[in-house]
Amino acid sequence: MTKSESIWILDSDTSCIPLYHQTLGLRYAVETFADFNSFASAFRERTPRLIIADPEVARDQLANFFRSVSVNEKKAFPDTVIVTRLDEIELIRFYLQNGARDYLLKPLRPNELVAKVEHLFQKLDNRSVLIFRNNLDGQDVQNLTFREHQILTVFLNSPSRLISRDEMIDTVWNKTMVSRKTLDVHVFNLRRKLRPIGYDILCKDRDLYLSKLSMVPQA
Amino acid sequence: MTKKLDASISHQNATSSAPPDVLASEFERRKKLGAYFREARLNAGLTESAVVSGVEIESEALLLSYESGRLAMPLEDVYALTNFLNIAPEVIMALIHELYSPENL
Repeated sequence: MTKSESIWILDSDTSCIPLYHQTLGLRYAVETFADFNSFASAFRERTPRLIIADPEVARDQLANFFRSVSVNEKKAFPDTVIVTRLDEIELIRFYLQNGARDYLLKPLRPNELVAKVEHLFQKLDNRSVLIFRNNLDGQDVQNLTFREHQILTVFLNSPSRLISRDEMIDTVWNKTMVSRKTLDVHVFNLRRKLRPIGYDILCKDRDLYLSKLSMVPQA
Repeated sequence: MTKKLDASISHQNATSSAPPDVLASEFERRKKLGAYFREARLNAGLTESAVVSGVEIESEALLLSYESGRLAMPLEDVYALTNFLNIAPEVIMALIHELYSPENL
């Protein structure tokens, strides 16, 4: 796990913010938002890996935001953990039904928070490639074939990581025997579709990784 | 035996009946494509053996044959080399398009 894994925290409780930095800040890139508007505007430009939100900051706005993003934008909403003092059954039901991964009650226990976040990231990393992901910086990659979708999902499930060809073949084709050149054909076509939106798949010592085009070394 | 001999003779005739300029221009196209890959490999500072183990081309001799244009490169190997050498797909496709465009055929 690298510090590039980003966690956004929407919480105005000044007693909790240092706790987040002291626990999660050591391992993850933690960004805090004290009000809903700054959070929403940042979300339109970037997407974090995990959101920790307290509905007390903006109860109705956060609920509407949850509903609208998941329903209207067809965008995979980042995994979210609700951390709040509000011990209300309807609120707990609402967030869990609308995609929240967990609902923790304050006062926060640091060990519980760290262990749950670690467990969540572990689950995300092992996520099936059949749950397609094709969103890069808020843009959907269009016209992907089934295999290209799976390959891109493997990269997005493991950002900033080198993936060996064998690992990619095992994950995407499972037990089916395929040539590495078959993978090359799919990767070549996927690269053609990624480059117009500013991404490329690069090869380093036979391993593959997803990279932003601005970071691509010139040949 | 006679049949095999006949087939071999007819194959030879078919090959030799191709106009020499067509064969020469095909060789030129392969040479240009191969030279592009050789240049990309040298720019990346890779030896033949590093590339051969990376893209699973059968041997270094085969890679050198591709680079010199002596042998035609299968499309799968073009894809594999393009990915391995981090060449932009649109660049290699544009080169192939240019080499095989109707005015160059």
